Amino acid sequence: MKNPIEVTARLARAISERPRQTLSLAHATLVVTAVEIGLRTLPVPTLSRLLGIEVGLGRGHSANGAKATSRPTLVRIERVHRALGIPSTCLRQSLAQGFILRALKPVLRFGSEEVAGQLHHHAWVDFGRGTLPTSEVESRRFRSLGRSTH
Amino acid sequence: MPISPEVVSEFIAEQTVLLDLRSGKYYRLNPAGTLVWRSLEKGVATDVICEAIAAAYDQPRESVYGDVLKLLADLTAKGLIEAA
Repeated sequence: MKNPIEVTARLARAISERPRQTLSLAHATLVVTAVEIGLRTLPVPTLSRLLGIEVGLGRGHSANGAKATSRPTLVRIERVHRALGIPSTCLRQSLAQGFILRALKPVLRFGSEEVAGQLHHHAWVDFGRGTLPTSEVESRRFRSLGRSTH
Repeated sequence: MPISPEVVSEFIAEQTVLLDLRSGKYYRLNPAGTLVWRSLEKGVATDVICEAIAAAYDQPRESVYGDVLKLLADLTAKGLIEAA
């Protein structure tokens, strides 16, 4: 166990030297923790709605825009996952990023692709002008799962 | 038999991938199961589904009836479709 005084001093130094980055990291830590608790206690649609992320139920492909969404939040979230020893899965990343960027009206999508007879599944958030955690080009490999329109 | 509103699906490489959003579990239906699922999406009755499967696989209707009922019971037990 590290000395709490030393930890507090390091934290204070980090805040004074890099206040913005440190606060962003603290924010990401809170979000990742909330998502982890949510995933262990709630169905994904309920958690997603609580986080302000619509669950995409349309089939086919996703984002139409060509612009990629910037990825600083992804880097922070992956860093927090590593630090906390949480598997940085696409669903965890999507929910955390979707919440942080909820002002962009994210839509959570699930998709699958077949490669050499094996099905691969993926989750991502679609912001309309880009997707995370994978780029639009990567996300487009997966066919979005959705509800029947009949 | 209506499909659960929390289930999403897509037809991929001659099979159907199903995801139960509540549990996060994925399921895969083979081509015959896909035919059943697509019929369920359209609200087709069980008898008509059996006839379609029998015609598609050139089998007597009676021989596919049990298999279709078994699949429907399995889908119901997993909460993917709702009992009629």
